[in-house]
Amino acid sequence: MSTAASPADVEEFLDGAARARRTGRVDPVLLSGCVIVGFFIVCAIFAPWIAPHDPDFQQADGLNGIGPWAPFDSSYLLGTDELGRDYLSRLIYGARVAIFIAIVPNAIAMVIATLVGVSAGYFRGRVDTILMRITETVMVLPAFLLALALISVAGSGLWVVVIALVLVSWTYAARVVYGEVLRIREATFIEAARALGASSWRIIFRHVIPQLRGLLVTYFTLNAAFMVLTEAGLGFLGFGIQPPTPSWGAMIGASRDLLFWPWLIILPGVCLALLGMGFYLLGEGLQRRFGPRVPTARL
Amino acid sequence: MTAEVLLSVTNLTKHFPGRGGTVRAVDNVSFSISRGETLALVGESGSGKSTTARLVLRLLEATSGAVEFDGVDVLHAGRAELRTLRRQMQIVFQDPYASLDPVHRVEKALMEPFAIHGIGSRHEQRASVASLLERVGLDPAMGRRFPSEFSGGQRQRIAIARAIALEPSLVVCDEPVSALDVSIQAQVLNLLRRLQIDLGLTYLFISHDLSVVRHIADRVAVMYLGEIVELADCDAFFSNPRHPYSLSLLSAVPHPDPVVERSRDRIVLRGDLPSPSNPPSGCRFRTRCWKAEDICATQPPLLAADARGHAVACHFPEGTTRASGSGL
Amino acid sequence: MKDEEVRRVLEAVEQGHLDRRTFVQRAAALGVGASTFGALAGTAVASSGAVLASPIPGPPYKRGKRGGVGSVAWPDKTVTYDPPLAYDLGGYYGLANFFRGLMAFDGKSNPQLDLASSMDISGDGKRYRFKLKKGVTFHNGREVTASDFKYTFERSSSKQIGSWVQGFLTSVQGHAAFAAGKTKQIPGIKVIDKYTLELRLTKPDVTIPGVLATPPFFVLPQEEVKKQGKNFTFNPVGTGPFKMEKWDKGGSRYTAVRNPDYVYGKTLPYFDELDWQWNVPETLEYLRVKSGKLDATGGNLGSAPSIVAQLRASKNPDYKEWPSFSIQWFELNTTQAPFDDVRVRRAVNYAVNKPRLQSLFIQPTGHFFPPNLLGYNPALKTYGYDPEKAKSLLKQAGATGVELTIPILDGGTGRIEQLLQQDLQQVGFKVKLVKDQASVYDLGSKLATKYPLWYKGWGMGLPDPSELVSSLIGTGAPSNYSGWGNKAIDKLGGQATAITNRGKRGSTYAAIEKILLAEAPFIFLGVSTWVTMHSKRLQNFVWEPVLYEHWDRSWAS
Repeated sequence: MSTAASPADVEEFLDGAARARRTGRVDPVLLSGCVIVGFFIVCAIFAPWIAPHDPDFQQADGLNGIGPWAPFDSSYLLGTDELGRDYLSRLIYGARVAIFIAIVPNAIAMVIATLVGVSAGYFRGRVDTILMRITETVMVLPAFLLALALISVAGSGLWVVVIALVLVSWTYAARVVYGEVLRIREATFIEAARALGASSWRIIFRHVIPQLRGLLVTYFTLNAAFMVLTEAGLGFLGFGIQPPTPSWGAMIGASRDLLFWPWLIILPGVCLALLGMGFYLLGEGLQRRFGPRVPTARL
Repeated sequence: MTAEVLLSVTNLTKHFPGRGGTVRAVDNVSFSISRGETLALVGESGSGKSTTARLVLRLLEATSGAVEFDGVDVLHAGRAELRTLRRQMQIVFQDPYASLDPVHRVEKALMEPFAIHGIGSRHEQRASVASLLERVGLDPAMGRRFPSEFSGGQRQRIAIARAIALEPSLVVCDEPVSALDVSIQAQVLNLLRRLQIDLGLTYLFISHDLSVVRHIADRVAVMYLGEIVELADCDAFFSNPRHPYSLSLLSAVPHPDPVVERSRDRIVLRGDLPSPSNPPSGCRFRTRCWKAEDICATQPPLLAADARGHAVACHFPEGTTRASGSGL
Repeated sequence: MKDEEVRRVLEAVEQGHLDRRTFVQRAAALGVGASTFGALAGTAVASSGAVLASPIPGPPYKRGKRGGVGSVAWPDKTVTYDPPLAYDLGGYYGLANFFRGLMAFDGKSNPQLDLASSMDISGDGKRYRFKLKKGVTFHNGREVTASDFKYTFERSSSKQIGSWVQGFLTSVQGHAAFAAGKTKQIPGIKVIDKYTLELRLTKPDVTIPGVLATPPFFVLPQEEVKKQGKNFTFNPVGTGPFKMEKWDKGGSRYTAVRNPDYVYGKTLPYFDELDWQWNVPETLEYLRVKSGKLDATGGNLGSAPSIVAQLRASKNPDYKEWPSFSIQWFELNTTQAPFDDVRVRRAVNYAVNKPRLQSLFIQPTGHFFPPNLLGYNPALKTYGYDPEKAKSLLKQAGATGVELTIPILDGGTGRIEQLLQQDLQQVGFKVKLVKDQASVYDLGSKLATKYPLWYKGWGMGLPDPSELVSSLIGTGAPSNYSGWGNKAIDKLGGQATAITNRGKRGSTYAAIEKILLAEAPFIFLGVSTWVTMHSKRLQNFVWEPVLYEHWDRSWAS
């Protein structure tokens, strides 16, 4: 009478992990994702030790006669920006913002998505109707414009950006969790727990949510790329984190009109593309290893 | 026959609202089980036996009827009462691959009953788990493993261990061996029997496999399209089935008595099981019955017991009951 | 023909045949008003070489080649060509293509006669009489009369239109009642006859000729404004060198064609057609000019410093840096601590690293008045870059470790704010920047309720220091958001508009700026440098700080 496929998925998860342990073979996609993301995480954590200069300080000699130093042209390895700030340091500190954005709003969105998706999927009925209507309503609004609208009303700032990113991304995850919970709740082991007298909360926290681990980890990783790129988009338009805090998107945005100093655009662009790709590879690798294809939020 | 009645089910009914009309999954089902007894509920898939089991355990809410367990009204039990009831009524599911949470170690799965009901310290729970594993014939050291590391038979033993952890009086066995290899089936059945004796368990045993039923049951109830059509002692049922449907079921089973086996006719039913959302009028079996007459289409036959307690719902039951073994 | 006379006089000056004194006498004899001859003389003196000093007012022009299409692009979105309402770059600075007025500025921002053939000022300075040139026609063929000017002046001063120049004619009799909506007309604007207009003032006001040279007072045909209603905003009908041919909102451009009946139509303009584009960012303007798809940039390339760096390095002759009348400063909220203390205000002025402002194309004069403006005194002592002095002043004032929040207002790149942030942090402030989606105009005086200081820029519409007093620094002036006021400045400012002697007037304004600098309600930065680039084929590209580009006198080779 088994109707739920989810235990099979999770077994696949465990079998896969066990197989990987046995064979010691490493998925190149997963590995490259780990290396790239790991690199930026290291940059983010150790920025004060790695960065050669204060990223916000406009160096007295940071400008030459006609503008900033170009990369490899002076004591500034990657040159300076138009205000004379060391660009390498700004890029390294920019990783802090990017990693923070990839993790914090993402985690909050996952928690909200899990609460909403599990509540709606497990309890069904009116809770389901109300929660999923709200989810769908928010979901049909264009994510980027919604974030822009929120920031223009609330004013920009790190936490406003975090809230905006949470607001535009939790719905997709909630839908995925919801669908998964609809399957899990029909599983026999859930019925067994009920027969044992387990409360709904116990079932949710001991049996339902643990089944979502693989899904949430994969989704979190893929969504991290979305978060980083969305923040960059907001920063590009000047809606992001307050200057002078370096954010790659904002650095590109601030350099839009500086086309003869192309490194100002190219370098943060490369960082963004790399980190976005890193998260994508990581998510793709996790997905290949652990579970079914997961739809993600799109810009 | 003076044994204490543990479970009594009266006019139990479950209707599922569906697109093609209401599905009458369980319709006016009544039976009772005495303490220490095994009642087998047999029938094809879709006959409502698993639903009946879930109604009894209140894993599903009944539409109407009554279930009384050890003097407690199950269907109207409050939250706290139901919690107490859960300790006394347990279930073993058909699919041991689906009934264990794949992310929990066996130890954790078996500690859960104690954790839910707040029984013992963690240390005591762990000790109980070890003895439970021993009791179902598994090495207590295996508790550190995940369900995926076990075979089907071993998993079913774990599931049984979980069901008996709280020392219940009633265990519903929902096709507990049908998903297992034939070679394993007997071992698990023997385990169930031994546990029944050791722990004084009462079983509501659901199966579509009559050879398994004959092996374990004291009494047999046959369900067809949500109704009980025959209810009898095991021996009486096998030796002298009275409902044409029972007859057809039994005819498909090889009889251990070579005399009977040689003499029996195989009855092959016409047509498919009718839709439970739109059951035939009168007798529900009449569309497939070779004995059906006009009355069968108009008058639903009532489940009527003879002097020996052999009950059948048919206008034209099979002849007189032969004397059979010990009536329980 | 007085025009001819004036031209001959000017040519004589130019060739050195006339000394200044004789010129002034001759000019007066020709009926050119007292305050104008100085301006005329200015042009004449500035003119040299092949420049034709002539009765055609405005910046110098040369003999050119007629024909072809000239094109220019502007960064902003253009909303209207209605003279009193246009405010964006491409709108406001395109008004002179379609309209002309009684007066026009020359290349040095001095008013000259344009559609007026003469301006007579009474001895008491309270009556201006203008004679109109005869035969000047609107684009619809009708002749311009004095009553058109009356209509135009009243329209621009009316409450309903709500123009930024609404208060420019306050010295005219009856203006106050009209502006308040109590009367239907301004009695001080008098139509004497078809070709004679008189302005009667309540007190002498020497800014009148300059005011009349600003586009919001360029003459409009009453019947067209009424007939077209809202359509007039993009179908301008005036007396200017070009006529609107096709306005293409979706394509963000318009085509204007040469007006053969232009008052100087025998000579100007040279182009048959003008291709005017907007919504084109400066970077794109530059790229289009460079690839030959565009004749000139409209926006300031200085806002894209990498381009200017590139141009400077390449020594491109087609790019030019011009001193502008675009004043840059930070306004301080003087109603609250810490900037209610003049020592703190002076300290922040000392804190700013002025030379670094040049990287943002600000000429760091440290003045409020732009150089070349009447009253600008180069000898005036300004605040140098002296962080130590700043620190000691702050210590005296007890303002150490003060937290400041500086907004980056809508449209700002945040660069200047980041420069200031670092400079102020160097002297001990804690500075936070926040983006504010509102513009300085949206917030207005509300800025002082939200922030301690904010960046401000002001492009002068009327190139006269009176505008700075009446708009920016006078007590309660409409664009003075600092909450600061000074009675001496108000008094001097009130007197200055009545001083007919230019030198005396200039020193009055110099005195005003001296008080302003001492009181330091602002962090004084300087004026922005305007950077343009034009195509190789474009000849006689002129830029001046009041109306910017003059497309009637450029041509394509």
